Amino acid sequence: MHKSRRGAAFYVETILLVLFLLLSLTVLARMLGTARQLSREARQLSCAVRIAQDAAEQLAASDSREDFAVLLGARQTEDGTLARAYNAEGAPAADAIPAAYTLLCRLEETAQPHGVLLTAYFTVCNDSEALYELETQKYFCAQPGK
Amino acid sequence: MKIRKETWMHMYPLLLFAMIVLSLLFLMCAGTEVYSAAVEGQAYNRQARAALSYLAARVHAADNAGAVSIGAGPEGDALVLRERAGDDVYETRIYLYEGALREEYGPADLPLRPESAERIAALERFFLGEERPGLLTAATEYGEIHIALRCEKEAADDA
Repeated sequence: MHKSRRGAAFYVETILLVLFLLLSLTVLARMLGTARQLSREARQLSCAVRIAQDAAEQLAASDSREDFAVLLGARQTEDGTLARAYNAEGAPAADAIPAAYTLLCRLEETAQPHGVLLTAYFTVCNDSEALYELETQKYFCAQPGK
Repeated sequence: MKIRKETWMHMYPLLLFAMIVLSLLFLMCAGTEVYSAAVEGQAYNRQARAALSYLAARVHAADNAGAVSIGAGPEGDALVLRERAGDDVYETRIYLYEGALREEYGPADLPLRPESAERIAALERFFLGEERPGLLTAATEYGEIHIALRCEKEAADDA
C-alpha cells in the first residue's frame, strides 16, 4: 500500500514537471516568436522610412508633377496614383519581380495665385499592410525665379 | 517481467532528464538564432541610419548656394560642405577611409587629414553623384539615397 502511494506520487510529480516544462516551452517559444516578428517589423519600418524620405527628396528636386514621376521612375495606376516597386533592401526593382515594398504616391494639386501647390501622400506598403505614411508639399512656381 | 519493470523504472528518470535537456537545448538554439537575427537587424538599421540619415542631415544643414560639392577623398568621393566665416572659408569633408565614413572640419586650403578625422559609421562603399542640378545621390552598401539641394535648385532656377 505504502509502495503504491509512493509510486503514484512519483507519477503525479512527473506529470506536473512535464506540464511545467511544456508551459515554459510554450511561453518561451511565443516570446522568441514575438522577438523575431518585432525585429522583422523594425527592419521593414526602417526601410519604408528610407524609401518614403527618398521619394520626398526627389519631389523636392523635381520641376513639375510629370518630372517627379519620371525622376521617381514610377508607373501610373488606373486611379492616377504613382507606384514604384522596391526589393527587400529598399532598392528600386523592376515591376515584373515580386516587390518586397511598394511605394504609392497620391498627388493633389492646389492652384495658387502664381503657381501650383502639390501635396504628395506617400504610402510604403508590403504585400499585406501599410508600413509608413508621409505627407509633404512642394510649390511649383509658374515662372521659376520669380 | 520483474527485471524489465525495474529496468524501466531506472530508465524513466534518465529519459525524463534527457527530454528536459533536449528541450532546453532546442530553446537555447532557437533563442540564440532569434537573438542573433535581432542584433543583426538592429545593427543594420543603426548603421544604415548613421550613414545615410547623417549624410542627408549634414547636407540639409549646410544647404546654401555653392556650399555643397563633391570632391576627391582618400578612397573615392568626398562630400564637401563649405562655409564662410568672414574672409575665411572652412570645409566639412565627409569621406570613406579604412572601412569607415569619416568627417573632418578645417580651413578649406588645408589638405585632407584622414588619420585625425572623426569616425561616423562603419562603411565599405561610398559613392556620390549629382543626378541633376540640385539632386545629390549617395550610394553605400546600405542603399542609395537622394538628397535635394534646395538652395542649389533655387539658384539654378533664378539663373
